[in-house]
Amino acid sequence: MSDAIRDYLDALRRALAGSDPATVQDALADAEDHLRSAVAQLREAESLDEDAAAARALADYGAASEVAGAYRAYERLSAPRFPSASREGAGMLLRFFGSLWDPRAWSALLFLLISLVTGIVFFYWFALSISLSLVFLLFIFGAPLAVLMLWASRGLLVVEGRMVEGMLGIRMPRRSPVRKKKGIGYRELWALLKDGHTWRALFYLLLKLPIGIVSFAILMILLGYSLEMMAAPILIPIFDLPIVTTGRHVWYAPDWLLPLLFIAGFLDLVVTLHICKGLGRLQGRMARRFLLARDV
Amino acid sequence: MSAISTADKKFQRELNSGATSLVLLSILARAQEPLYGYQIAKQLDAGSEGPAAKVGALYPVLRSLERSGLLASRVEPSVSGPPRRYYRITRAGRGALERWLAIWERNRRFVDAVIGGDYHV
Repeated sequence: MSDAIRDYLDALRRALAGSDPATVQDALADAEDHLRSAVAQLREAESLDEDAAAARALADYGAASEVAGAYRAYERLSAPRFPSASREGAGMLLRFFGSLWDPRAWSALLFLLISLVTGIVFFYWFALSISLSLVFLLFIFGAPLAVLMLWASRGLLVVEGRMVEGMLGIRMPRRSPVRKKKGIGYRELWALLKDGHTWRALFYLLLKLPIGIVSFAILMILLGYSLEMMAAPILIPIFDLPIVTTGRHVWYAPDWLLPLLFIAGFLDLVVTLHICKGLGRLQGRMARRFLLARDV
Repeated sequence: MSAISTADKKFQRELNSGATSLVLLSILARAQEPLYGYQIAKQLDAGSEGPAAKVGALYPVLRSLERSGLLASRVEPSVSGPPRRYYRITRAGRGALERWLAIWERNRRFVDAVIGGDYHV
């Protein structure tokens, strides 16, 4: 990449200072992608040298401040939005039960359930890539393998970012961070290892499993109780089930308790959805902390 | 930079903001195959006396059209350089293009009429 283009990308990054880091990452990826294509095409079609081609491509692309303005306008229009069920000024009661028809709460619930699976996949990938890379670093092809695996991890985490944005409504980058060095040798490996983003990404891969386990357990307990209590008025009379069994003592619920159990189960469901929203927000914030490239 | 040229630029920008989406949609509707950013920019360049907007401003519009479901994209590795993002129009995009062309036509007639003095307020 020529110096002119690298300078331009720096200027664009500066012009976008203060914008959402995810937007900055997208804008830099777009610009680098286009400028490389344009330079390659110009050199081939009009046989310009590298510097002349870069100058032409940059002139067409527009001043960094202009391009930054276009991205800002786009960001304002396309910030992730979720139709929110709880309206301003709605009563406390309506706000409380609002989680039942709030799509954000339900998608957070799904996200938390899925995070156990993604946690397992991420952990598996982490263990596999680290151990293979370390072992093969003893051999000549160790560095390429390590570089490829690190880049694959970043790709995996872009997918996680898409899920966080889609299901939790939190703005995340849509592209991998720009590769500073192309190639798969020891130099590129060293550059990756010096990059804080690599370490944060690896840490996130590792962290996702315990978080997934905890949120899955919390959900299973809360949802389990809720469904159990809501089903109680139907299942207890039919199967003549006891409510509590301790040693030799068996306690059957009196009839008046059954509707109350149903109500308690229902309230539990509403509260669970609120908790999901809260947990989802926490996870989203964490994902932003670890998955946004800090140097942009 | 003088005040006049700033005002001109602002006018041009405001005029472009909707027209760019329309132009991009119609380019992709005509295209036989998915196009990547640079190809789209080239077509724009060939079709006019000079691009009204800088190429860099097209990308956020492409992204926003994709986000609205009017375009779809996929990334493919390329032989000569970095991977490229290819855009194609979706069925929803074709519907939108048809409606937008009608709006554009109505708007153009109205503006022409006012400028030409045929329209009385």
